[in-house]
Amino acid sequence: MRETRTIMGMPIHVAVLDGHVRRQDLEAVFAEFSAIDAQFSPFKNDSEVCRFNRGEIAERDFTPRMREVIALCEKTRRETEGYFDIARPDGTIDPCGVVKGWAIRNAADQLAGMGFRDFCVEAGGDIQCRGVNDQGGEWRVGIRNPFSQSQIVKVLQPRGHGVATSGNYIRGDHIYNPHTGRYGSDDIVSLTVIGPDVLEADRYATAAFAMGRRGIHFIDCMPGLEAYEIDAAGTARMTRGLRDYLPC
Amino acid sequence: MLSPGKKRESLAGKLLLSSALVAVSLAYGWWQRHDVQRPSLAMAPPPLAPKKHASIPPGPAIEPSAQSQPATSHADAGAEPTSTQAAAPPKPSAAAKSVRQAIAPPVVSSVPPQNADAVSPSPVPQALPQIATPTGDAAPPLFLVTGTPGPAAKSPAPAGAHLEDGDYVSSRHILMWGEIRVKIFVRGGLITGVQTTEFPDHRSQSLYLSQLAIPKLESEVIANQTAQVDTVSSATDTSYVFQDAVADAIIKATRG
Repeated sequence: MRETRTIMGMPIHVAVLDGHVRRQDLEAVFAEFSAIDAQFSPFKNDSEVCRFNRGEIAERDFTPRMREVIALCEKTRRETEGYFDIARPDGTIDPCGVVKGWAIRNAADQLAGMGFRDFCVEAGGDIQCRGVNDQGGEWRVGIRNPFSQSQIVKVLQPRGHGVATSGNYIRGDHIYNPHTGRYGSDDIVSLTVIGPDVLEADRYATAAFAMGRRGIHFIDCMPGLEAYEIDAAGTARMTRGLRDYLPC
Repeated sequence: MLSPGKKRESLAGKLLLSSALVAVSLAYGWWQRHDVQRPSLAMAPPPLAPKKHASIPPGPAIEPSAQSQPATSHADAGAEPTSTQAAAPPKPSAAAKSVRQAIAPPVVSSVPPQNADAVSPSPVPQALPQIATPTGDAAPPLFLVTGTPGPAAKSPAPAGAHLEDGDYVSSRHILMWGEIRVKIFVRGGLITGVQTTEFPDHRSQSLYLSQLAIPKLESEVIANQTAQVDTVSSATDTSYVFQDAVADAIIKATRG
């Protein structure tokens, strides 16, 4: 059973292949996505994030889920030398960089908790698959060509790991990097990360992408993470361990 | 002024001296060719300094690798001892071997190791092979990624539609990180540039698409693979919204 909904401003696809899946199971998964959106969206006035940003609530008022997300954000900030930071220049916070991967991982755990084994959850290009696909083989994830949306430049078999791509199609040669003080012609347009789960892949992909050229080196040094990078000149590079996820 | 006899003696002397020089040169050349054991120290490359690597822990001095040894490293050098000979290869220790493995090619990395180490929890960064060779399932180069697109290719306007010259700003489009708004520049009925006027990235001072590098992904483009994958990973939320914003601006520029 497959279902697609637009939540959090992006299409969310859920595919559950187990025979005993029911529609209400998928409804429960989408309901969780909607609840997360309502709580963490920076665009919904009554979300917990917006209320905090307006000063209506303090940190001590955070819900347990908000505390969990904030703790994840702070952990990621420390691990990435501040390249991942939910603090905005205007003093507000925006935890979206973690929330998407966190929501997908939660959905996958939710489906596993329901007893399903073969499923795939994808939201905004971030993916968590488990089990096997409808042909009984490994799930196959394509990496989209950032210069041509109809093309796939690489096929991966995550084998239960999470996949996240961070990128910005519109970034050209005039991006200012505050850490280097340069406008980089060596900008990265797409960085795909495979991690133990989609949450790990997503938060590190976001931070590594912000690092520019250093990003893939950073991922290469992180245990359990692999990456595939495409720069503005159209050159692709990958970490050595990514070969383990290529189809035979 | 010399007499004719003196002149002849002087000329004979010069000839004799020249012949002797030629003979010495020939003999030296023959000697150089045949005496393979004789080192040519003057031509030997200096020993390469060991590669420094910030992640390599301090340890015993690294000997020059076998490739960097000068020709005199053979034991019989025989002649005068030199500092080059002093560097003749002793048996490498296990530690040195491991260090050599750590610094051995193929490392194709444009980032200085110390930069990588600054964020590296791992003592030895791995190689990042640059992908340059086509894979077995790579498709032939596609026309849309092999050349500079002509002006017509920049205009997504459908046939029959006409673009009014001017600058057009799209309405705001929401993506996950915030809002985006683009401006297109139409000159002579063609889109000559696209500028992102609003983008949720405080690091960016200005963003332009018009100078986006020409894609060169031929060797990595896999044609007709879409049907062979179960799902696709990409930064879709940004790119699709960007396309929507551009389309919005184009609609504003379209007449007729």
